[in-house]
Amino acid sequence: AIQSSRFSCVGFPLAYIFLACKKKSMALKLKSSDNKIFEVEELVAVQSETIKSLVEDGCANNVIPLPNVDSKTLELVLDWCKNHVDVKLDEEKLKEYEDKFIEVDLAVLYDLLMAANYLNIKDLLNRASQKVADMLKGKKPEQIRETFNIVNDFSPEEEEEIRKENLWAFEE
Amino acid sequence: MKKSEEKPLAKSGVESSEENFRRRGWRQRRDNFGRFPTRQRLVSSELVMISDAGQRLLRIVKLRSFGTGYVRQRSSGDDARQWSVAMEMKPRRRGLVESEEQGENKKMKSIVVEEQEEGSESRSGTGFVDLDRDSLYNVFKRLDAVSLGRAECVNKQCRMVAQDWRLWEPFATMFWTSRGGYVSVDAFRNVIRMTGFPRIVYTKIILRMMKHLPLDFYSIDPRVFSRQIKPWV
Repeated sequence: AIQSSRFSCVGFPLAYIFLACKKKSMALKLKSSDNKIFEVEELVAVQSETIKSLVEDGCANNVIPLPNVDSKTLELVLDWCKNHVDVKLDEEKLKEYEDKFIEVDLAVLYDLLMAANYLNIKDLLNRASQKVADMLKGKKPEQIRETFNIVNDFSPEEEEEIRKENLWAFEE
Repeated sequence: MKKSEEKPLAKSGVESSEENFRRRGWRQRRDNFGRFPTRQRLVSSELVMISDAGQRLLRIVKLRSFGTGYVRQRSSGDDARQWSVAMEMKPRRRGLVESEEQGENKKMKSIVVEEQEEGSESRSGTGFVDLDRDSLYNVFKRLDAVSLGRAECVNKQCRMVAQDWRLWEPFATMFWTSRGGYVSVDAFRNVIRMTGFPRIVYTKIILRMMKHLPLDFYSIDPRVFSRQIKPWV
């Protein structure tokens, strides 16, 4: 009798109703930088921490603008999110999918990295930066500059100094 | 005359201590390889002074770099400079007195750097130049030591990100723990105080030394390592 009295308060049924309403997956509208609108389920979009915090704060009723992500990248990211909703379904398949997903052009990879950083999707961020790290491994600075199209902004003296500091990395 | 003066001196220098030991019935301590301690290795009073892992390591590194067993008791301000000669690096110590010309040069340099940075912003760099610090850090923390050292030389942004201690810490601690000691925070502080180098530079020195040293550190001076701290043994 004592235990049942715990649930007999007025707030109990109300809380259930509230939870039920919240659990129903809402469709969120995401707006990319080139004004394309994507409609996705909440479960999918919530994988990004940024959107999750928006939803929790209740700011997600209207369209969510994502000014740092263009539509091509957003499509890819949402594809990733859809495949990661139920992670425990098929780990092997998921791995295959990830390997396929990450083998992209350098520019796309860069966009993905930026988008993942902005949207704060941990899996994608880890995977993308791992990919970049793999590309960096065992390459000399000149090669890195070539592959990533980076301009050398050191003066020759500065570069020499830094090279001296890291001399052990260049000895073979 | 001279010979007669020199001979007993030399004898007293080398043999008298052994005779003393024998007379008093003391046994001279042997090291792990069964050798008697000689002058060239560290004396026991010095061993007492080596209380922390950091000091121990520093001494060994010094031993190796100068080629003699003699280690100065106290590190003076010149140490950093000596190191820089040994490692072909610029000394970085607060206390170092700079001549006026150097100071002017530095100012000029900083001005130049600022100009360049403004230029690079307007240039709208392509590729991975635009990567912000967080994501670049995210990439760098997946690299090994050699790749990290190389990636540091790519760009100013890369250089800035690679100055993070968190990136180098695993390599430093890896070295420390592989010696069988425990890593204390004080150990690092000691090393920094004694060498005058920042932690990252110190780690780089270690990494460089490791390429030239034999992997088996016990062959350097077993007496030093006989004092290893092994709480689990």
